[in-house]
Amino acid sequence: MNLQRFVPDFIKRLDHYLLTHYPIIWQSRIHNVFYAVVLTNLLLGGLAMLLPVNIGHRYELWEWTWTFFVVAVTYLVIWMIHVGRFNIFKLYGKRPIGDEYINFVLHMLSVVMIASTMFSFHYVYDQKIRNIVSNAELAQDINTLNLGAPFFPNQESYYSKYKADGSADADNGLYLYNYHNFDRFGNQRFWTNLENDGLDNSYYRGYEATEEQIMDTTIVQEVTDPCTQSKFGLNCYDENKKLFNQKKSPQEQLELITNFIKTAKKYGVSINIYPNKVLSRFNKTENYKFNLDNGEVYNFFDINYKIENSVGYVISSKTDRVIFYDPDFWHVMWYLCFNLALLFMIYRNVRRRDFILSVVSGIVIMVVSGIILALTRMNSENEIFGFYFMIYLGLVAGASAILFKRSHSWLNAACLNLVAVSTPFMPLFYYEFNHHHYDRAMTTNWEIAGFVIFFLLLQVFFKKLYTTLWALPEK
Amino acid sequence: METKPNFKVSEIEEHLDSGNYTLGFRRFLDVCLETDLSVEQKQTVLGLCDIYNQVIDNTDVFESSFLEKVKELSLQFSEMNLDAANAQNNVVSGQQISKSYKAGHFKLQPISMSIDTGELVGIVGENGNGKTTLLRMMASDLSIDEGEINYELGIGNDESLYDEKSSIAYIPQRIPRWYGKLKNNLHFAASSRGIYGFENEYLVNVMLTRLGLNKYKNLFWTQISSGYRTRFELARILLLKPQLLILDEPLANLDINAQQTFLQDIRNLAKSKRHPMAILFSSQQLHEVEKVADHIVFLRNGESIYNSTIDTNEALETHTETEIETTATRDQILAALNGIEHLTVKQQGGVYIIRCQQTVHSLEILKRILGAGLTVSYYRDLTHSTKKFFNEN
Repeated sequence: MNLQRFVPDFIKRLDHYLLTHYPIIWQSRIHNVFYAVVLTNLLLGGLAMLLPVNIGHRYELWEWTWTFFVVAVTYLVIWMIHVGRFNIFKLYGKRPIGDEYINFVLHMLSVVMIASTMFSFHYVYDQKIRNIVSNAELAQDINTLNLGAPFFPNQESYYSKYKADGSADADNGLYLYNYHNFDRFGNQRFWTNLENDGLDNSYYRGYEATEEQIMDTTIVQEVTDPCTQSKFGLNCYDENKKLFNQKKSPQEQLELITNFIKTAKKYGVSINIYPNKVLSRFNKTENYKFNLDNGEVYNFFDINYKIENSVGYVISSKTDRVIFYDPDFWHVMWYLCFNLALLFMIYRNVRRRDFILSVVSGIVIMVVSGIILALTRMNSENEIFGFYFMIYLGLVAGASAILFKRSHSWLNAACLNLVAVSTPFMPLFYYEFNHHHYDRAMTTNWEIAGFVIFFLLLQVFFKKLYTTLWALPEK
Repeated sequence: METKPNFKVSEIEEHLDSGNYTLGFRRFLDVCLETDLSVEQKQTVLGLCDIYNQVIDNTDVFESSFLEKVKELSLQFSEMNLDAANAQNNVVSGQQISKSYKAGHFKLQPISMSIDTGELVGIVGENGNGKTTLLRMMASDLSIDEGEINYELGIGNDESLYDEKSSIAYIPQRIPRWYGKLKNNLHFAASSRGIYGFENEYLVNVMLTRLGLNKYKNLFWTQISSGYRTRFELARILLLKPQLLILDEPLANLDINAQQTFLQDIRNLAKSKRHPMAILFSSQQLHEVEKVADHIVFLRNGESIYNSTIDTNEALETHTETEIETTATRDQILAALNGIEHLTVKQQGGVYIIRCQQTVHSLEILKRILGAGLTVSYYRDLTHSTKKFFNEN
């Protein structure tokens, strides 16, 4: 397929410039990859910007990432076909000093850029979700919900049940959040005795606290003092309720309920009940005298559950760490890109038949060595490592024999390819088999050692063998 | 060593004046490629190439100013000195090399050959007689069982096998497919050999025009005929400037006119003063090969039965051999040639092969046949041709 028709003039000019000045860069097609990746990421980013974000909806962004994984794989295949076909080595082009490094780095960069198309949508959409509600606005909303929470219990019977046997807490059902850092207070309920939870209650507020009070931990502490002097939650409830009734007028109480309903609606949860009804029922719980009329309910379990989830999604979208800042992510990406670049380097340096036979040989060696290990009952880690190390040395000998051969042999080519694939990982392999406890820092050091050794050998050892292999006549 | 370009200005003028613009302009471009031109001069040449390509593709009528400019530059360039390559030296020599295949029970018997810079060696023989095997061995593309091949490619003592092979260009009969635009392949070939920027543009464009490929430069491999593929491959090879060029049946895909042009081109390549090269090629087109080759190797059943220059080898001088095409019968021919000693007349593929003692000239045979009133539609003197070996089979 002629992809040139999708390429703008300035990229064509760049392409021609690289072709006539820097063939080693041109043949990597990194400029085409760069253009395609930038364009794709802009499109996917734009798509992420256009797609609506609903507050209170839980977004599984990895599903999108896997969708765009298809795009990345498609690009990778197209790129590999284009670069693989236009092979300087097959035409016996000159190989300047350092070309293997340049090739490897260019291929690594190309793979990294192509891989980025998997995450561009993820990243932009994640940012959009994070900013659907500003931090200040979210804090204010949490404040409002916390203030109104006592009026919306999960189950009014909890109060009476506790009164009867002391087995259950009076549960308002809504988790409370620390609005400073959006951490949830674990299993803490609004009506629960603060002392028993062992939480840092500096930011924990009684329902009567105002926003200004919340900011001042001293005031909060002062307000919650009546609780701490009580043994259990119900006392706290009583104390708070008394205090609340002293401080809040019915009008103010009604306003708290109204604000709660409005805020819940903002987070996608409709509460179809008038605020004065809620207040009326709340007042009936005074001193646990539940004198609800027949058929009248005071139960907000579903609503609380929805609010909790909805606010929870917004908070987790803000507080969950983005995968791009996770070192493990880059660790995986490094391995992915390195191994792809390594395989591609091998493919471009050998005949296609040699490459296929190398893959088959690798599988055969793994199977046969596994059978030998099983039959000889070698099970200590030292023995297993020693066994595989002997195989590795055999492969190195087979690869080095290329320098003394008079004709090309796929067997030597397979040895060389398998040595190239295994060399970066041999030091780590050695370390893991000889140290029984996991030490992340040491593992990383041995990993790095493997890559350093590989890069040192790349130009002086592997290139020498690959070019000689290419030039050897057929048998 | 400084010298003058290897051409005659009068030849270019003659072609242009006689209306043979294509040949004239091609010779002019040969001059350009042989000469060290300044950037301004190269830009002028590129401008002329543009005009030439536009006219050739459309009207085929050149303005006199264009022709005058070509003549003027030819004269100007012919006066310039150029750095000639070193004197003729041996590029490759094979001593008693042989190869056998288990499958097919074929063996190429030991053969020795040597090719110097500027020399053209043609390998001829029927199908399945080992031509391709010999070429691949000489190109270091196929291992040898016995014997030894030595290359003197002038790339230093510490040359690796890979570097050595970079100086050998082998064009197989089935040319591997090119990918991408044809022109880009040529730019890439040049830049990968260290020809960058304007020089790259200049050489590729001149080469495309020189080989009549400009019209096809933006096409892809699958969009051109096999004949043009051969020409594009030749263009790529010329940009690589190998020391040794080996071509397997390069004429197979070319029409008769293209064959003549192609052979003349490779002869010019071999004899270039600035970048001479050793050329080894195989072909079934015996007469065409004999026209350009300095040295012929004839293979039969894997054995070299002729391995020498045409002029010096006495093996060819054993008898007079004539090939004619006529409506006459064999008896009529025998009657016309009555009295000639050691005469044999053999019909072979629509023509008669007439052999006789060496003292009788081939033209005498023709005269006697015509004198007998027989009609001859085709005649060729094979006395000095290796085609005799085909006829002996």
